[in-house]
Amino acid sequence: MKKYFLYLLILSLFSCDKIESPVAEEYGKFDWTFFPGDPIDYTTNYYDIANPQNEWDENTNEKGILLEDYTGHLCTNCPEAAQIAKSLEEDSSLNVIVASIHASTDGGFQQVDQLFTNNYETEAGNEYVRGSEMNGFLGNPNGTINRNDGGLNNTVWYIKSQWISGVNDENNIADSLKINIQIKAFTFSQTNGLYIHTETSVLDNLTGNYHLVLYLIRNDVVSPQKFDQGIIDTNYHHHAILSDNINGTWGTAIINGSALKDSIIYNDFSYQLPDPVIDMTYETGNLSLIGYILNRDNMRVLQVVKKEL
Amino acid sequence: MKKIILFFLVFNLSTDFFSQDGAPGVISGNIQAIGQYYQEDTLISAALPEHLYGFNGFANVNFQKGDFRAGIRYESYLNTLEGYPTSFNGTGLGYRYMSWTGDGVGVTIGNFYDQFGSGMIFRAYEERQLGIDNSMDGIRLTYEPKNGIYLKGMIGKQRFSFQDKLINGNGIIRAFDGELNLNELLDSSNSWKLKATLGGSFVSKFNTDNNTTLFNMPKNVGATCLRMNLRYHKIRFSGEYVHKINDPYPDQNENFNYIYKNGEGILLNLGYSTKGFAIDFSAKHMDNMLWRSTNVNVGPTDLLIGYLPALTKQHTYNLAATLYPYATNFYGEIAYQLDVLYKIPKKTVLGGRYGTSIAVNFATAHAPERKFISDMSTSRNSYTTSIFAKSDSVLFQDFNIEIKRKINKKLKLNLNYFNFIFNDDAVKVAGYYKMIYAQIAVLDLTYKINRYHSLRFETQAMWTDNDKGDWLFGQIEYTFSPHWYVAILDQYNSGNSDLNKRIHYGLISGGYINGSHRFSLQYGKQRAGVFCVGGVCRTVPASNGLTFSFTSSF
Repeated sequence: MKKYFLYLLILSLFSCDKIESPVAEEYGKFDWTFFPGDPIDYTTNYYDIANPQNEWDENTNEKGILLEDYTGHLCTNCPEAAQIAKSLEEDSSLNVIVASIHASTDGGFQQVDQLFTNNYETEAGNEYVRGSEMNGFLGNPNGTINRNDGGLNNTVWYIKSQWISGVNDENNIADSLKINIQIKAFTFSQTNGLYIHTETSVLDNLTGNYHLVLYLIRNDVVSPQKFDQGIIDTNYHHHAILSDNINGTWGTAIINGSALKDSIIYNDFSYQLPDPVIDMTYETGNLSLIGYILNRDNMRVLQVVKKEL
Repeated sequence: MKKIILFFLVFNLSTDFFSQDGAPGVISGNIQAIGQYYQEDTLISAALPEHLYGFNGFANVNFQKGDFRAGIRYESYLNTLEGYPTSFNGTGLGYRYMSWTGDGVGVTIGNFYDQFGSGMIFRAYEERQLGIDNSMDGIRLTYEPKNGIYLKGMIGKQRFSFQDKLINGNGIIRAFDGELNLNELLDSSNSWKLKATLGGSFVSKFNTDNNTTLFNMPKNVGATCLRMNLRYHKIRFSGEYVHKINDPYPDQNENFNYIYKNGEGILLNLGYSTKGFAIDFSAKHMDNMLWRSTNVNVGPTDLLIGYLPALTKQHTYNLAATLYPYATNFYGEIAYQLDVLYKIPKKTVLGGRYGTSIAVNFATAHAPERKFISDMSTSRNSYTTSIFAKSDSVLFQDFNIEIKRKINKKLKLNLNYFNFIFNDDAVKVAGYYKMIYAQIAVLDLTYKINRYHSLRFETQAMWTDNDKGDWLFGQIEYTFSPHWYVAILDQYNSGNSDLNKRIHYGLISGGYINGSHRFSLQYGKQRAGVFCVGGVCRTVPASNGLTFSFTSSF
């Protein structure tokens, strides 16, 4: 019995996290060093951060559907899922935006070797499948549809055979858009700098916690993919690979509590892109941004847009 | 229901496993049920739910054989009574436990309530009238290695809500407590006139509920507590100190929103009592001691690990108890209370034939003096305080006198006077959000007609220029011992500045008592108010209708 009490005591004594720096590092914090010139020139020639209201036209973006395809280059069933996702994206009536997220709970299907040299995993992608906030991930391929909870066992996770019906169901929801976003982005090859500006329009009174999440997407990357029966396609075109979260795994809190209809929220981010000289897949023409508004209380995506760089 | 039957079947079939004495086990229990039928009453904005009928009920059933105990509580909220937390909903098992003891060791698995010291660092308790139940669900071990040494360790989750079943919060609580009774420990000290007990606790929580990207949240937060109790002849002293490390919570007040300041609390009590006289002085310093097992916004009484005691007298007379009762301020407070009881001896000029009891109570609570510092972009301590340094901002003040006197064999008198200062801008209980100054007088007479019949008459008046103005209250209660009673009462908001709101709240009630069974009915209007126990409050909406209650035990 003494032993048990000793265990409890030790457990207790070491159970404290003293936080020395409470304020979290601000992902995407605006950094002028990525701008090759005087910041005043940026205001004049690109975007006036101090007066963002003058920078935007009316937002005409229609409701989008974010289809996250959780995949892996060693996952033999994943190419078929990717094809379903791509066909849904190509149906312009659905306004589907695909993000291929290479992630698994235990690193399965993601390993690299002499042939599969690219590790496409991201910290955020792994957190989505491994963390406690999106429970129920079964393995690759798996997907989310606006992260609604209509997937298997009322989770956010849809198996690939449910994607078409799931997207159609989401598309048929009569809900009007409650929030909308627009994205502007400017890149500077001298520094590989990327500046992003967003305008979020609140279209209905909202309460809760809402985050803006920005994905950096590589549109097309050619590298090996494993298929059934050990077949490996070394020229496989991986589509819309999530390459980084610009503003962190769960993005930037833009509404914390409540927001009134017709209010406008502006956000600015800076980011340094990987050098395309080292990795050609990061050429600006191959990059896009996906921006979405996430209800952090129930994980639902309210609106998603894509911006080619 | 199958689970319940199985539960008791298992214990009855396997009793020999737990006990060698062959004696039968004992089953005991109790039930309480309250139902209210709601009527429309637009005059008082009475609650009128679409289900029209609310019902709260629970029953405890316990089994004991030797050192083994087990029990359940079945709960029903169909639908929850208006004003009661909606987190209590549905019907099912809300509490179940097993425990056994032997050789100085005690084990509890399942649900349990417990408290370390005054409860500032840890108190798992139930206050059914308030809708508070933060019972632990886990494992508790107690151990007495030597006479006078008491050790206790536990781990578990807290009850968060009830939705047809027990719903626990996500946070995990780990707690350890040790207590040393010097007089029991040291044989030689048994003869000491000084009785001393020392105690210490450590409680930590783990939760990942708050995933804000703005701040680095501590997942493990610990609190430490030291306490002592001393008694020497007729004098007693108790002291307790609790310290909690960074434990940020979201808050609408910028100065308290996600602050990483350590919390601390000090509770001191000094008392003296002798025949016919007692004096008791308490002091409390409390700063930033909100202590929950989750770091996200939840209801005010949800998932509290620590209990912040209010240094105020718990009033029972209607106007004093429900209009401006004090609710402990979670941000912090410096509070003092003085209680003096004196019984003027019988057969004296002042004391009369049977003696007269006088109780004087004074309680005051102020906001701590805070020096705000500009560190919200760095360490986020927000402010500094000093021990027992109070500001000018009074949160609450209560001065009251109670005089009890038996006039003759048939007549008893109870006189009360209350003087309140109530800062509703800080306490936010009355919905007035300004200072309230109020005085209340109460006359309570009981006339014993004969051995079986008695009549009680109670009248109260409150005077205030603030909030809803003056109130009057009157009640007559007739008791036919030992079984029946009937009462009629009226509350009247005589001083409301809006003449249309000078409303009578009439209520008639009656009851039947038979041994351990009690059944009562009441019908009429109930005004909106606040119900508090020990500084923890819940608002009660206005209602009109028929209420029945039933309690029983076996």
